[in-house]
Amino acid sequence: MKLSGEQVLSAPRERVWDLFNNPERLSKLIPGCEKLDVLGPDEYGGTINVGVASVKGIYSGKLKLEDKRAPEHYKMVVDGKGKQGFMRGSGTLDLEAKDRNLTVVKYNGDVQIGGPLVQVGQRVIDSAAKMMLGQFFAAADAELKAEAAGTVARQGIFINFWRWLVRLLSGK
Amino acid sequence: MFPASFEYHRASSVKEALAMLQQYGEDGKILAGGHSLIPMMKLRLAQPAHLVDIGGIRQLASIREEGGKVIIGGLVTHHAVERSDVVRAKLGMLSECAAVIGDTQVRNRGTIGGSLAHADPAADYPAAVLALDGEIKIEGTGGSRVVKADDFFIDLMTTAVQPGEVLTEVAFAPVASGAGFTYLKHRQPASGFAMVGVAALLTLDKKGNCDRVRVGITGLGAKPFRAKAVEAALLGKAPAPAIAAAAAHAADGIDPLSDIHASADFRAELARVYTRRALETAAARAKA
Amino acid sequence: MAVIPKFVGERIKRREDPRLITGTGMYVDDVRLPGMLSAVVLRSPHAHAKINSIDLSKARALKGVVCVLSGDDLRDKVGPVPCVAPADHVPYHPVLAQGKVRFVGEGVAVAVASSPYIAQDALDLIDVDYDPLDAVVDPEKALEPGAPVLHEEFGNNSVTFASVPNPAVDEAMRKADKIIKARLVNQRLAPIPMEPRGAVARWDGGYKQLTVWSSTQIPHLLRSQLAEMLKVGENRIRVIAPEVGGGFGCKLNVYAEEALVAHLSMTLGKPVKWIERRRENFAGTTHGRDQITYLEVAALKDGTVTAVKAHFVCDMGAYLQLLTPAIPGFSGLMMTGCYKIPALSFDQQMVFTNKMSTDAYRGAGRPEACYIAERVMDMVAAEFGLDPADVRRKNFIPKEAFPAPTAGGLVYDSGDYELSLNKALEIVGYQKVRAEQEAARKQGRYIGIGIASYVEICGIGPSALLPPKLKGGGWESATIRMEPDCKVTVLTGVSPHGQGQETTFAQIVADELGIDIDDVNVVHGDTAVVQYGIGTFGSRGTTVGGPALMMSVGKLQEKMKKIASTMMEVPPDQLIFTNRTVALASDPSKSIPLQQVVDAAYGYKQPIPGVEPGLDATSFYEPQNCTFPFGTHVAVVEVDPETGVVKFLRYVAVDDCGRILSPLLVEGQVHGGIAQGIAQALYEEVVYDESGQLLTATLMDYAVPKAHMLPRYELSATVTPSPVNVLGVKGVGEAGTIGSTPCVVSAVMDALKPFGIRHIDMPLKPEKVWRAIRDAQQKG
Ligand SMILES: Cc1cc2nc3c(=O)[nH]c(=O)nc-3n(C[C@H](O)[C@H](O)[C@H](O)COP(=O)(O)OP(=O)(O)OC[C@H]3O[C@@H](n4cnc5c(N)ncnc54)[C@H](O)[C@@H]3O)c2cc1C
Repeated sequence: MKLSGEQVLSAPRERVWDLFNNPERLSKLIPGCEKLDVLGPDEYGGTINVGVASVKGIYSGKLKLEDKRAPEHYKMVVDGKGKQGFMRGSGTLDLEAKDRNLTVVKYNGDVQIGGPLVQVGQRVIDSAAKMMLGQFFAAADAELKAEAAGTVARQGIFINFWRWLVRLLSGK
Repeated sequence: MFPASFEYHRASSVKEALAMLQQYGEDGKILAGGHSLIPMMKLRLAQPAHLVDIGGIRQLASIREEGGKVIIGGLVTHHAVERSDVVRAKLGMLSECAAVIGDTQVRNRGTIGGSLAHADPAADYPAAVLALDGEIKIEGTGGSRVVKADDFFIDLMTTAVQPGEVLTEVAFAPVASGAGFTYLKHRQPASGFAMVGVAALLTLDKKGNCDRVRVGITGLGAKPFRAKAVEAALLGKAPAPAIAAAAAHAADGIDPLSDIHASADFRAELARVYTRRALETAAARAKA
Repeated sequence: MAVIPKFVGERIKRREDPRLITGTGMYVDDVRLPGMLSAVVLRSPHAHAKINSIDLSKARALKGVVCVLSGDDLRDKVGPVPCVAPADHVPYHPVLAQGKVRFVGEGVAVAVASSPYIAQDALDLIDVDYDPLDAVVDPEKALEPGAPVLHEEFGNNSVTFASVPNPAVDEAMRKADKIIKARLVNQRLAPIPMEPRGAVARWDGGYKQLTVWSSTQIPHLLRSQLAEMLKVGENRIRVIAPEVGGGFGCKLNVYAEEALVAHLSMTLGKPVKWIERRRENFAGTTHGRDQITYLEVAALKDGTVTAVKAHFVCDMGAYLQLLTPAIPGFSGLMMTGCYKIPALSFDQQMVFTNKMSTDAYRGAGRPEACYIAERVMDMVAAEFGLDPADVRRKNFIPKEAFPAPTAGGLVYDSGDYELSLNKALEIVGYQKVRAEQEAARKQGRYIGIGIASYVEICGIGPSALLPPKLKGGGWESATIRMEPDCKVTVLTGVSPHGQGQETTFAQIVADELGIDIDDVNVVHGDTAVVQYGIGTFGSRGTTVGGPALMMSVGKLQEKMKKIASTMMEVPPDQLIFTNRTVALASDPSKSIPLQQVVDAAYGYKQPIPGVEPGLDATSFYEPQNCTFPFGTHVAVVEVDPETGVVKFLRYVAVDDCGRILSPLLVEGQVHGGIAQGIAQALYEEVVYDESGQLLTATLMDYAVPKAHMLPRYELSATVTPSPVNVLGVKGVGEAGTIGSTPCVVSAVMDALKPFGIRHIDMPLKPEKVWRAIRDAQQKG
């Protein structure tokens, strides 16, 4: 599955870069993620707890940042699995300063989702992923705005990816 | 197909159901017709620890008329909607829509509340409920509220129903006599769900111009929606020449779904063609 | 006493149906044995991955779990899943993956527990550490240098390259008015029997006896293969095919799970059941078709086809199942169809990919061949502006030419192709429909008329045609036993699972012995009861099993006549069987009751010289040739140019399956066959994504047609008996599937002719049709 697009975030490029390189803050933006453990330089591990609503199960995964060129570019490699499926892939993030207070984030990724989830839910995977990205960026934007305003963004306006999928799939 | 273990609870009233849902919190899940939830449980993609079966709550399973409205309980099956004389007489489009949901077994089990609460992007009912300006009643422990169809569908499979709440009924004003309507569906060949489904309703004024137009579309985007650009383009105009141009707006502003059965641009084209055809049928049936 | 009527040729309802429609048939899942355990298989979510480790400890610790095994635990304990067809590269195919997985759905571990729920819980506790590898899904890409290799020991993904050259083809190409080239795809399909697979095994240690119930088309061949995999004597294994809810070729196989449950039962000492779930069926039961054909056709202006040359790329999937690499051969050999095309050459490149294995699926090779032959006829007609019916007539093998040797090296037994075409066109009202088509086009409506004349191979067949490594040949067996009470038991070596031989064979026997159809019980599918037989596939049940039965009937009749002749004091050859008597042919009123003859044979109180006591006979029939049923299908469709939707207006099928024993059953076979063929033309397709994930893993995504997606069938027949067997029958199990696919494609292409569209690959889904129209309009 190819995912590409761009999003505008309301913060200077350096601040966006800081956010995207801070595991603790990033973990809040990743759907369902409670915390990211630092496994090594630019390498994080974490579990996504999907004990949400009707879904039991834990998805564990790794996130690696490569080819870093602060404050404009990195490549992200993800690898995660759970009982209902797995996700592997990589993507690049490019940050462009649009003006002093706006940053364009261009992303371009190729993700492979496998296992029962995709077998049963091919029809919604794309849209669900698109949606999740949208929510991720909305959360990031909120976080950046809150940071600028000196407050803490409320997490939880988005819904975790797996929960989405599972709800989507249950339409079948 | 062996679901993970769960506990089963049967509620005998809405109040009891709400109490159970409150007790089990995130581990609880409402079971109505089970035709969306149970397949998922069998695949173990859903593993609720507690099922609260609302199937025994009688008062949710009736169709009644009250205060000039037709009120359909959340537990009314697709089959009952299809066959109801009241619905046929006053909300013909809804019974037309119910008749093309799934197959006989699905229609005998699936409920209107389950279908709306679940909000599958390819479900049929939402298009008709949008076009009929349905009003959805939701009850929670804190009381009840009524949400207009237009505000009900929030996002991909997200509705105004919050966890712990029960969708109890849907109310409709009867369709004006002389209104023309239809629900037209292009089936996904395997599942039978709507690849695109269009519910169109229009009424004509004395001069034969459209004075009310409603177009609900399902299957195209992440959530069902009213094609307001189409409606606006037709309002106040005579249907015959205006429909084609109006229907061209059916997919405006929508990011269409895409899967192995239909790409985004084919879905958009289907939406335009089916919208035109549905409006043509509605216009042909409408009486000035 | 009421006169017993004749049954052959009558519209007899299937005698197996009452139990099936009242839920009293017994399928594998209905087998419930004391102490029985449930096995559930963990399947790979990856299309291609190295298995680093498998942690079974948590699963093993779960309460109620009896045992959990992975592939490594079975090394040297259970032999590999067999492939008996020849190929250059036959990979080792373990019953559970060892070290590597090669397709989504490959078995990785098995959990056995007191209930399937607990076994499933156990699977959730197994932790497999995979190292995903790049997968290759497209068979043409799999052949490119640098493609991921499935089986490292072979160095590349080639299974076999087979070539049938012919210099006459090049000569014809030089002389042709036109060489037409095309690339045709027979997409991958899933057979989807209503009952998925399943197996129960019970090892009785004291008796050293293994009983395996399996939903299979080939109980005896399965027994032979299990004996080899498990190292148990065939005389210690009993395979029972109980009620089998459809096979369509996918149960003409030997699967890992059948050996697995047997091994588990032998080691655990308890019965073990495994029942396939639908998602497993999509991922782990053989698929069909998946062939790409590059064609070159030499044609003359008058529509004569002088040569066909083809290059096939055939997707075998990740491993070779029982007959995987044998299927494409039929596509090559039958490619000239009903036509006297003098020169044929082809080669076939078979390829490994990270997908489930392909193998026989209703028609197995012939639908592909017929699709090619019929597309050729249509392309020639389009090229030279000829009527497609005329092009077919021009090229038909004439009826005088039978037995007709073909360019593929076969000898067609009998046929009258033009008769069948003419009849189909007459029923549809060809000229009238053409006129309607013309009129519709003027109104912007797109009606198309499609024709397909097919010939196929049935009654397989002479044993030499079957793979050398297959235990058992192309023959079939039958035993007939007149029981002491004058009721008849038939033991047939075929294994019907929908074909209805319990009815047809009873009809035959009743007529031959002058008894009632209710006096006959046809038994099949139990290796402890029935003599070795080959099974049901390739429309051979009645075509090969029938003559075997006739041989046994003959032997029995001969013996009974001998006995009766001593009692009646007339020569045996003057006796006939009628109305439960043995009677004088010239004067049937001179007769003795059949029961008296039977009493004499069993009671034997007065020894009959030269006649042994008892009344049964067994025969093994080896056919001298295959049979070649044929027919013509005509479809009239309308294409909605705005949505690409294809609607049926008419569907006419004229089939010739030789002599018709049971018209209702023939029609039933044709109905189902056409449905499956139309499914290939319009709806069905197994889809894997680029990474090898199976995207059509449920019936919500794999479009098996519902009744409303199919036309009303107008069926008719011609009858050209086969000279190959005494019954004159040809077989009809696959005919409908073979004729309908090209017929529907032909109709859709005919509808799209005004747009200049000549070909769209199947399935002709609305989007593809719509896109082709849109592209054509933009170009034009
Ligand atoms: C084979 C098949 C084919 C189908 N084809 C179609 C089709 O063509 N078109 C179509 O539109 N649908 C189709 N469906 C879906 C069917 O209409 C379902 O019945 C419906 O979507 C859900 O209704 P239910 O009563 O079965 O809900 P359930 O499965 O019981 O519940 C679905 C979800 O809604 C929640 N829920 C249920 N009732 C309420 C309530 N009153 N208040 C709050 N939450 C509630 C549940 O907790 C669950 O999350 C098909 C289903 C199947 C199995």
